[in-house]
Amino acid sequence: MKKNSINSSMGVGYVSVMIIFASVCLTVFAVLSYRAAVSNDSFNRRSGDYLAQYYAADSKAKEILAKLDGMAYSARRSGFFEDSFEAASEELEGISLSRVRGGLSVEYSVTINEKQKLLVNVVFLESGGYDISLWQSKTFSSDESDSHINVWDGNTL
Amino acid sequence: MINLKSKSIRRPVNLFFIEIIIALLFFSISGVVILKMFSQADSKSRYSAELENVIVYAQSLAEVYSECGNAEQAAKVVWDELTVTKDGNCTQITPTGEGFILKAYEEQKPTDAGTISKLHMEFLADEEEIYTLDCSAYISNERGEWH
Repeated sequence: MKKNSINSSMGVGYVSVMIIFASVCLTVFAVLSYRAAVSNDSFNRRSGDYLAQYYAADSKAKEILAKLDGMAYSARRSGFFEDSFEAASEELEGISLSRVRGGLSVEYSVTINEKQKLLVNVVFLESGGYDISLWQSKTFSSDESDSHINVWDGNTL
Repeated sequence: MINLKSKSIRRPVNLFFIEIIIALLFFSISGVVILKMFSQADSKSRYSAELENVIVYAQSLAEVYSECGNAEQAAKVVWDELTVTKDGNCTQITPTGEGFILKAYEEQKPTDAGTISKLHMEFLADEEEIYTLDCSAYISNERGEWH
């Protein structure tokens, strides 16, 4: 009588189906949580790598700033600030100078990675000190013609 | 006659128990694999959360350091409570309530018009390196202005 009741409530195969269903559910949850953890980890690693790249470029830019400040300091002492500064800055590569009111504006850039650059614009004042007007990372494209969409300019019909 | 009847009842019950044994065996094997995966995911997410936390602190420290050029001073701005120990050019900073320590190596180089300082930061948790960051500061004698 007892054996018959077991047989009627739980048939052969029912347990297997339940176990397989539970295993599949748990496997899916485990895989999803593992993938979420891995993607989160890789995102944080990339974020950390970018931060290291940015501060490496920032350090290079500060080294250039220190050199330029030294040149500006010497140029001020010479009495001919703009001419002396222009002559001294020729030894540094990738720097563009322009004369502005009260001093000289210096522009340079440092590569952060293959897609980004750190742009710097500093005005060295004849009276002393400097003003940093730009210290910004900018994304650039290696081939800008590829990103240009050929749309109608509105001039010709 | 009675013997035959009892045999016909016993057969499905035996099958049922054999199935349960096989199913439990399968479940226990797959359970081990699944639990291993869950524990790996958990340890990875813990490490990831710690790394994220450390990256934020590293960036804050680098920004403050670029203004003051002193690691200890920068750490005091970032954390309210901390312990600082010095060993040569290495400053060990232990923030209270955080699960890591920071080893900061500073190098200062005077130039004609100011001082350029370099800082190498090593974040360690349980004697294991989590993250490193190099940054620098330039402090001019004629203080520069940011606009």
